[in-house]
Amino acid sequence: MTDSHRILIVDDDQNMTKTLVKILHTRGHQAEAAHTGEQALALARDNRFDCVLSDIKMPGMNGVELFSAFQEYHPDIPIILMTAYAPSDLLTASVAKGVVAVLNKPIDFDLLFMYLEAVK
Amino acid sequence: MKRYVLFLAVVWTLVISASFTWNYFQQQEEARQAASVTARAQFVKDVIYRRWNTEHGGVYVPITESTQPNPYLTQVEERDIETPSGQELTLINPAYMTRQVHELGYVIKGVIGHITSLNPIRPANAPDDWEKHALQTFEQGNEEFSSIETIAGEKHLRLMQPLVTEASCLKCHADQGYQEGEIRGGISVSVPMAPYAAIAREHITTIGVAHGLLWLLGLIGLLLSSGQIRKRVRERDQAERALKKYSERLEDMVAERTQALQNAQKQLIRKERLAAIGEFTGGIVHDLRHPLSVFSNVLYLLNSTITDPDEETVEYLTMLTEEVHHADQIITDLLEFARTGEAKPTTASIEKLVDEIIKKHPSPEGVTTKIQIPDDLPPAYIDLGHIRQALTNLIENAYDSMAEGGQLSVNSEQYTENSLQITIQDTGTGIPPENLEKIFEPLFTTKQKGIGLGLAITKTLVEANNGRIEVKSEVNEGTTFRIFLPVAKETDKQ
Repeated sequence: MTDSHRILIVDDDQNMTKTLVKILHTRGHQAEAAHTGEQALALARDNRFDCVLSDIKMPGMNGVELFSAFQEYHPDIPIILMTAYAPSDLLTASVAKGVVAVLNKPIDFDLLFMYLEAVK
Repeated sequence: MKRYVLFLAVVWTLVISASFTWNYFQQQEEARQAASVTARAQFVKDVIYRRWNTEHGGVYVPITESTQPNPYLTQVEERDIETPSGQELTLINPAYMTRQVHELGYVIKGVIGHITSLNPIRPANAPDDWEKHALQTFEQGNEEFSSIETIAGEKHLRLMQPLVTEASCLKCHADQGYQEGEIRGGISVSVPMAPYAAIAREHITTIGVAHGLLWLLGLIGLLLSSGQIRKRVRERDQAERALKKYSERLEDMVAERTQALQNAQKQLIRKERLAAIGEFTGGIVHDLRHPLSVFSNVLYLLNSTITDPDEETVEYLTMLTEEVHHADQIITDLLEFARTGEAKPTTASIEKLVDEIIKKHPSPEGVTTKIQIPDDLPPAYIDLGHIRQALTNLIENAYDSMAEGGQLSVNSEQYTENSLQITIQDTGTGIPPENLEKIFEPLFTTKQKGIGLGLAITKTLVEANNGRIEVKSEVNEGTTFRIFLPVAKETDKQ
């Protein structure tokens, strides 16, 4: 991995964010974690991120709402959504709106790094 | 029925015959009665003339060739006399007169009168055998004797009544010891039966014709009514048969409906069970996936960070990775199952779909794949996601059953005008008959690591697309699943 990304990870599960941050670090990326949509928006206001990796189902603002907010305030930041389970029509609709990808949990990392490469 | 009609016909014939016979004898008797009346009238007339003659002591008539002096009246003085002008007269006594009158009667009317006695003065007046017999019955108190006799080849009624000796009779018969009041003779009258028989015959002919007609009418009526009755009986039999048939059909229908109802109930129970599982699954799967995702992340981290692991570490890490994958597979199955909602059908190519699935799920080592789908197979009208899942399940099951190798055949062809069939056949281990019924039930599995939803989901998905699924299997020979799906119509959305 030659190019380093600054990636914002959003998930209410702290073990999830912790392991993801660690994995991204091992692959040479910088990563920060947020546990709510609001926190993510706050972080994005003060920091520059190359990509957001967000869970869909979260308490408070969910992943799709977060995506809409980013489209409004940070339309240049690409977003990849993660989901333990989502109906296929929701996924299709999200991609149609501009989400880079919707990844199923558990994360297929080969797929994740392929997308990260692609959004560079 | 036929025997009954025959019996009635015989009875009718007997009744008519009896009536005719009775009428016949009645006519004969009437003819005889009529002849008797004539004979009696003749007799009474004879008696009256005779009395007249007797009261006058006889009458004198001129002697002619046919009327000679009576040789038996020699004892009578003045038997023969002469008129002052010389005309010879002879005395005609009652018997003589009667005889002569009788001779006239025979000549004129065929009526034969005969005056006779058991002890006649004139021997020619002796009775014949019949008269003798009649006279004997008179001596026993009989007042009349009659019968039909043949005289000169003609039938006659012979009737005889006695003559009672009166005072005037004794003039001639005193010498014989006759006394007043005694029966000493009689007059027999024979009336030819021919005219009466002719009348009787005429009547009998009429009666016969009437009886014949009546008999015929009766028979016709009987035949007609028996025909009518037979027709009714036939109609009733037909109605009964129809009713029986209908009731049998009704029983069949009831049985069919009962079966359908039972099936529907089974289906409902199955659906309820599936729905309950779906609801339960949907609720927990999401939460299960989170820890599983962390497992997966940690495993990835370990795999990529541990440098130079020993053999055992690699083995256990691999085991853990496989089990996480398996757990995720079960969750995927449960989610697919929970997700089975209403089908959103579109026009879809089966060929493309099968190719896509085989590409994504290539056959394991030792298993060959043979796909036969004609180019002109019409597109199906299905929810692509549903049927993709269903076919994937069947194909993966087929692979699983051929761990020792074999061949997977996927065929598709048009089944009816409105349906096509997809056949998925393997040469695997097969399903024992006792399990064949249960394989579509949720939570039924024979796999060590199966959760038992694959085929239940497949069936539910196929049925959600107006299709149906059938299975045939032989242990150690293989299993064949047949899926029937609707063909896309012109009007279906593209």
